[in-house]
Amino acid sequence: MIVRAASAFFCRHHAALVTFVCAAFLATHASALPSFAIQTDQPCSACHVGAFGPRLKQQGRDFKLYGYTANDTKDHGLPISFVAEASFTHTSKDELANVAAGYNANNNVSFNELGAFYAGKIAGKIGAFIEVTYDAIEKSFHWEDFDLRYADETKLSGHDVVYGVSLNNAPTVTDMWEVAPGWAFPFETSPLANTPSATTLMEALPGTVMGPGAYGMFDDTLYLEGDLYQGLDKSVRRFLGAEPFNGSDRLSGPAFYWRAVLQHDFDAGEHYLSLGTNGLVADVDPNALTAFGSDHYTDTGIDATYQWLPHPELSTSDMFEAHILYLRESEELTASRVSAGTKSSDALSQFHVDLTYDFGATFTPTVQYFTTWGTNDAARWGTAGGSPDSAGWIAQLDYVPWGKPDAPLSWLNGRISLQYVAYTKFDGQTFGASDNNTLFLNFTVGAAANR
Amino acid sequence: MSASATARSDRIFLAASAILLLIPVGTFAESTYVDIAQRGIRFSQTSLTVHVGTTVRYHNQDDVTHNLMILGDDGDPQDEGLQPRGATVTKTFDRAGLFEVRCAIHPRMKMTVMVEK
Repeated sequence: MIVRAASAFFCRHHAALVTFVCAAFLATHASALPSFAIQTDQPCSACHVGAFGPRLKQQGRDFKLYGYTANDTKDHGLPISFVAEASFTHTSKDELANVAAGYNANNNVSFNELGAFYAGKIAGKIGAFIEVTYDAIEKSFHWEDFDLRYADETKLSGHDVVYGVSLNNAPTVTDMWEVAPGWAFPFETSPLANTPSATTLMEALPGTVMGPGAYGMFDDTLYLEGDLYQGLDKSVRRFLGAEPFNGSDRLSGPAFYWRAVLQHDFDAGEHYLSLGTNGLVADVDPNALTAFGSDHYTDTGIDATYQWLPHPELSTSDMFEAHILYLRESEELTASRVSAGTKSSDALSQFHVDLTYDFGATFTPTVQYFTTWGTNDAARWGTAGGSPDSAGWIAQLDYVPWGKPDAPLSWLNGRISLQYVAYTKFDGQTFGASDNNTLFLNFTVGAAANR
Repeated sequence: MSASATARSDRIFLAASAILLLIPVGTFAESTYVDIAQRGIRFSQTSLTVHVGTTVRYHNQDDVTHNLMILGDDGDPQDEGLQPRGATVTKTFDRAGLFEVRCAIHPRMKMTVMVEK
């Protein structure tokens, strides 16, 4: 959601450089998917931190690694789920411009979206995670996640290898760690509050591209993945709700995404540590124009996750998680310099660190520090002073009453989240940054159609 | 009591004792048990070597459901069904060979059982 709000802001304020960011509303991800719970006969707490997605425990990472096909050997019908989300948003200062149609300048109660998922096994070793969403704020349908997988395992020179191939619609949609905004905290932010405008291409591509990927996990320790994307044709993007207006940016050639992770657990699963890196290399035609050449983007990130699970035998065990992410984007703006007056090159960096303690898979507080900084370029970022810099804190408390072994209904789960976002800098401005501080009360409910 | 009667009763006692001693020995030899815990989404042992006739008892000590799938060298998986939390499933390996035991729900749960004659 933070990406979606950022994209809306960017689109409104920066017509000169219409980028992929305007399609980045697609970058949100699934939360609770009870069809997974039905297929595996497991409570949500078995796979998810806080008994609710998307943050994964080891069992959840395994489920994705093996292509969403693990199951209790019974036939439960098609793995269809629905997720609905509603919220209340209050900002420190009323929104003077950019008020969404039909909403107030402040204190909005909203029904945000309804998502439908095919999430689970298709046949044999083929599974999928596919989402179509009705965005009740934008009043439009669009596709979000698409990840169709085949996974198997083998031995290679005596080493265990789990391997797979995927057809997917976004760099990072395949990820099992918290490397992308949709998978990483805070998962949901208000669609009716301003959020910082500057985002990376990696955050903006989802839904506008499609491509094959291959991955392997070696000895449960080293994960390697590579994906090759091609921009979708304009008519396809329109059909999928991935091109909100004419002239959106598009890839001028294949984009390559890579991911590498080292992981290890200690003391029979009590401690888990992963260290990862990822990256994206892509050429983009701004405004879909080819007359000025292309812009070249290189994203490179590093991330780490630590999880402590004092009772691995209990899916409701308390849990601590620390997560850190750094991502840097280098932009060679050959085309935008001519067509939109940007600098010839820019850079944007992001840093997040968050700490979570999960009490019995029921109450889960998280605190995060985030900061974004980069080169000054008013034509590129569309901010008042030309700076993309933003920073702040997010504090959130999640309450999940169900999704655990003793829950009354295995096909239903819900989460209530109370979130406060405090900005110390917003789009390059320190003064007035706190005007964008946001209190966000969010309700999300997920239900499986299968039993 | 005469000496011959005493000797006869001693022989009967010895024979009875031998029978009583042999019975449990034989029963134990045919019904060896090995206990494996399923805890923290893993088996307590990743490999096991037993003799034909050994019964392995799998104890689900997690708070979630498990499954037992036995894959023999004939390639035909044998589904032992679901195993609710707290439940114990027993499997007697009555032929020699190498078996892989897995949980269909949790792909990382796997162990090998070598059954020897």
